[in-house]
Amino acid sequence: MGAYLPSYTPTSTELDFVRKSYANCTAFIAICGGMMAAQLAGILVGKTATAPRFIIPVLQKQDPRTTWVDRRWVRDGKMWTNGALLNGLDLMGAFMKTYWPELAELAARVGALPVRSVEYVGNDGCP
Amino acid sequence: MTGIRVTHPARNRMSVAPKNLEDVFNIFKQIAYAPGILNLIYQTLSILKSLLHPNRPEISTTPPLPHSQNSKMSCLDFSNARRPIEAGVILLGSMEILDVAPIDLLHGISKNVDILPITDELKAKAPEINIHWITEEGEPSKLSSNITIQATVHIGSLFFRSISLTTSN
Repeated sequence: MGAYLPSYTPTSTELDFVRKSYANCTAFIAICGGMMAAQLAGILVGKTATAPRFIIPVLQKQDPRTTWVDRRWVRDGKMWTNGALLNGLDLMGAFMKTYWPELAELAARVGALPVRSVEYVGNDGCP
Repeated sequence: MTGIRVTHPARNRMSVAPKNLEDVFNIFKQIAYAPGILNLIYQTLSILKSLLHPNRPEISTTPPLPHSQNSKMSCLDFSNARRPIEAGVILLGSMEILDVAPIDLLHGISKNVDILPITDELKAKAPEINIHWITEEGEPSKLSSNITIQATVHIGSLFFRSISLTTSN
């Protein structure tokens, strides 16, 4: 799932569904601001996660229930989160390589998926 | 406490022993509001439904049945899945296209796509992935850049069909 406009508040049905999906799934991927719905649903509590780089300091202060790290993407068990926008491609590339390494390598090469470190360099991701 | 006595309506109904099937049905109708009974009906119907439709969503949404032996129902071995992987994209509010787009990378390595220049051996390893677009009511979801996605399934239907009975890969 992805980021939604700040003017929207997920309904209780939607959050309930997020919670139940998380409980019953093998992998839950929250791309970019999609971590906000995951956070609202409570499924990031006690986990290590990331978010768009410029809001990490705010999250670290306001929601210390989660360990917020400054990386392109993070996996904690079956919960996968990433930084802003196209870091989702890095996450998905890593996800696919975890489970289907040969296919993922080939698809990434043919499809020109950018290959870069999971660590940000310089002011990557900063406004 | 005042002199008001509260009795469960079911107790009143059940005080007359049913004589035939119609009686049973009428009693049943009248106490059907009780959450416990509803839950039982729901679980029974869900078992029947999941027997008819063995493709369980990966994103199954209800907790395991109390009598289920299965404690590992949520762990599927993606690398060696013996059934299709059900992948759902949950659409809330107005999302960003590029945030939901990465699902297409998964689609690209799945059996659904036949255009990758790969050996047959590798092709055989491709996972079967069914992708679903989920909104609360099944309504279309408007994303960024003025694009609208028509949901393929709504949350209500997933609540109903998602009980799994076995772990099986």
